[in-house]
Amino acid sequence: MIRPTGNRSCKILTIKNLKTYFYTYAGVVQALNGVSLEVFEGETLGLVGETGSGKSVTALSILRLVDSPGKIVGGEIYFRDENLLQKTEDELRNIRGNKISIIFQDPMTYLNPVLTIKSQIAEAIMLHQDLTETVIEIKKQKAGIKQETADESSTNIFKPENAKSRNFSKRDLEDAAMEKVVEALTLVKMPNPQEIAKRYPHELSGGMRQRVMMAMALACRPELLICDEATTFLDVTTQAEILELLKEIQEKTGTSIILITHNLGLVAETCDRIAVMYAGDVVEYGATSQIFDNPCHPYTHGLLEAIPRLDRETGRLAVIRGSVPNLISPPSGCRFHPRCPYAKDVCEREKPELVEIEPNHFVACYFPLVGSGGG
Amino acid sequence: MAVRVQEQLLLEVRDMRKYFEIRGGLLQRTVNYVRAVDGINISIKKGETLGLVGESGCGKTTTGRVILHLVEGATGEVLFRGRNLLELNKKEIRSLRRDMQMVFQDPYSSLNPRMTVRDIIGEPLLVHGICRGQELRDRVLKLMKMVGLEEEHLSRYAHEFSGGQRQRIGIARALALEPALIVLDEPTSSLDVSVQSQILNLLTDLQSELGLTYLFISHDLSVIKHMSTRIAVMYLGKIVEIASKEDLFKEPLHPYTQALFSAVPVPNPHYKKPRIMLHGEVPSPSSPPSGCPFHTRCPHIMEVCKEREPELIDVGNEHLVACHLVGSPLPNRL
Amino acid sequence: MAGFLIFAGLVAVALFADFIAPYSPYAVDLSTKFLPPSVAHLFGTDELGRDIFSRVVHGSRISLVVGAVVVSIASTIGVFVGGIAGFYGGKIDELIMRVTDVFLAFPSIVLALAVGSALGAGIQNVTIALAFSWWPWYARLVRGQVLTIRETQYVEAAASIGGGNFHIITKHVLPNCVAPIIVNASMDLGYVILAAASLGFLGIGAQPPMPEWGLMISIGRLYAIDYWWLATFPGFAIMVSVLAFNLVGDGLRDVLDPRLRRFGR
Repeated sequence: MIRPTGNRSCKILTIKNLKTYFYTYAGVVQALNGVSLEVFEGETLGLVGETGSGKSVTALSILRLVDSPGKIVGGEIYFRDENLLQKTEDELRNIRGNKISIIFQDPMTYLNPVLTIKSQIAEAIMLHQDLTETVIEIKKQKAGIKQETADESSTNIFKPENAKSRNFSKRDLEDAAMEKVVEALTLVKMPNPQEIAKRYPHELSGGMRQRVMMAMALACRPELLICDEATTFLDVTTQAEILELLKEIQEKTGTSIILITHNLGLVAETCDRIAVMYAGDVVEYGATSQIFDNPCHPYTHGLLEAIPRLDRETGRLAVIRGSVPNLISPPSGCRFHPRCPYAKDVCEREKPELVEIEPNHFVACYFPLVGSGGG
Repeated sequence: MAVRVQEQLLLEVRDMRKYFEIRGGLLQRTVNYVRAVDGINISIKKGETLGLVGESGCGKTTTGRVILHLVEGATGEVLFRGRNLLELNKKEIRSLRRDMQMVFQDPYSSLNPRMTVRDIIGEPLLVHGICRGQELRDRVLKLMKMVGLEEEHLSRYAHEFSGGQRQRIGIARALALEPALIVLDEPTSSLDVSVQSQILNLLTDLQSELGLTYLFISHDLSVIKHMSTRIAVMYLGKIVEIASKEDLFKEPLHPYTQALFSAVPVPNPHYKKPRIMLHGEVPSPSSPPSGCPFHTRCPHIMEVCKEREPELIDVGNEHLVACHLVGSPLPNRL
Repeated sequence: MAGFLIFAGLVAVALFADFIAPYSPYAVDLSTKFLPPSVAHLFGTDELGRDIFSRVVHGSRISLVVGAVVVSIASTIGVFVGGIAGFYGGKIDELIMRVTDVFLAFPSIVLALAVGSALGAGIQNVTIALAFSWWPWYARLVRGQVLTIRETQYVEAAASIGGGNFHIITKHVLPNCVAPIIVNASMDLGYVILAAASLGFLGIGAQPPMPEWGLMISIGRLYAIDYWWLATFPGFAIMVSVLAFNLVGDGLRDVLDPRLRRFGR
């Protein structure tokens, strides 16, 4: 499914050779082994992998949310043209929730159970937005003054340059925030936004909570939204609704999305481009149709053959023998080689780099399966 | 309608209901009921796999547990080889346990962390006094080989294995008593994709080798399609459609089934399918809607749907649907 | 691990008290009373000329034994009571828990005092009194554990293969309860020693001339201004013991728990 995208030549995120390690009692977990990828404006990039692939760690690394014992030990992450790895904590806080937002898997654990929905969404808004304009608007509405009359000498406070957020009462700010909250909830198509805003997380269903998380993430209209398995715990019909909603929001606001999941069906339907990850490496990377029509990496190919699917009869499922490696002592060279049916000596010696096998389609493999046909 | 030979039916469930009480108030009186299973009829022939699919709260898990008598207090009839399980006493149930076993969903909590593999797989044999000592060890070993585990795993503890291997241990345990029926409750939902295929293949092999009958419960329609011969779709405690796999996928008749099919993502970017969006929230099982339970979200709702609950009707070839659109007069095919 | 070393040291001291202590703890010599710490008397002498070091060393035996006995009795009762309450639930659970609550409502020292006074002074009675006031904590702890374990899938699996209640309790529930009990018990040993010493200090419990640490502090308190060593060294011994058991308990918790959680999702 080809979806309309924004300015394709404008990169909004570039990750080069990212390495993130976790220093645990048991040893050093080499979670990310040199990950490189890019996200363009207005597109949806799918990050696909199983447990241990490093997809969630990548998301956390982008936002520098990796806590000890984890540490980013190498590489670069450029958001537009700013290197995120060199930012101070203050600068990062300005970016999180504001320019880059993230939605996690289980909204129940990421929503504070003792705060109302309104407080939680408003938190994001008040941290990043100057609500001056909104407060003025509300005050004007309350006083019954029309918007056009701007030079009211009697009421100096309505002149924007005289007003600063901190000069307003808490009540004013809360009213302004409420307006923005309702705006955000309307964006995610929550029915009865005013009513919902006053409720607590446990009073809502799973789908609604996820919408609340989306509202929080989108409240400040970020340029990049990361969805980390955001629909995994949802029913399949609710999942379809949420994804449809995301698509609409993207068309409206032009936000780029990184969709992290282990579900290949999801990425096929929603993403423009896909990066397949395995044990901390990006093993294949390209447009959705390229990956599915022509999977070149043995892992990608194996995955596609191993899943039961609705669109065709599946006889005996293909099996990728073995299991995901231990990242404390990962296999040398290509981390997939112990499970690969086509592995040769060189695969064990040296890690393959991403190579362009057709325009915009990259594979990290010495012996890619070219022309393997249907996915 | 083809006549079902009575002896071939291994399991038959008739009008089974299981309500859970909701207690409230100072004196913890029963204020309401959660209608987990609200009157279902299913049957499984020997050797086949019935897939039970539905989303959260539809009652499929409770159904599996009632059949295995892990949940008490259900009404109706659950006939296993002709005998109603719900009317048996403790001793009879215990002996029946040898014929029905379960494979659980979570490989991380369905195995006792303090027991070795040998203990876990051997426990059923010990409990029923079938064998001990060396003979037990041999039988356990045989079961392990059957599911793809090695002899050296005997003395290891469950937490030393990966998810897929743990699920193999669970399967071996379920096979220990040589049951006729195995209820599988989301056996691969917690596993990685690449491991899932291993386990599904194993289950298929075991079924043909040992002549097992499966009740396969899952929310994953793709897996259900792969494993089942017949499929039953549940919604809010009721069965809305049952058919053979081929019939169901060729022509899903119930609007919920159709919506379900359209919502499942397919790993093929060129696959076109109708987009059926459901609106409204899933009703709570403690206050189900009147009439047809699906009417609050159904895109084809009619007046009668709010008032009267539709019956399960056979529309040919044992394809049953509970929907007023597919009513008795003229078939209103969608 | 440091805790374990100290603990081992304590046990060794208690076991080999006779060999370590240079003097008998009961040897009265009025000519040598109130001597400050010196090479001959490492901790000095007390008001009756007895060597404090020897008394402290022998006192370890008393304290450790009291601690061990109390904790064993309390945990056994607690496991039994808490296990039944947790597993069967319903009215039995309510009943047992209310009884436990009554016991827990009293500060343990007060309770032990009451029982001790009723039974009369003496180290044996104090042991009984402490065990009597300690078991409710274990009952509550075990009950909580049992409630959690009862809901796990492996207990459900045990039921599905035909295991009866007895089988499930003995083979599945109890073995999985043991870990927190061990951790708790080892830390409790320190607190029991402290409590026994407190009771000794108050006059219930060990009676003179027993070299029990609390009793020594109680008497030493009277001379604290002039002769600081009478009370300080026994106090130090108590502190070291409690510390040791706390550390051991911590260490045990680390050892016992991660094993269960190594293969996370």
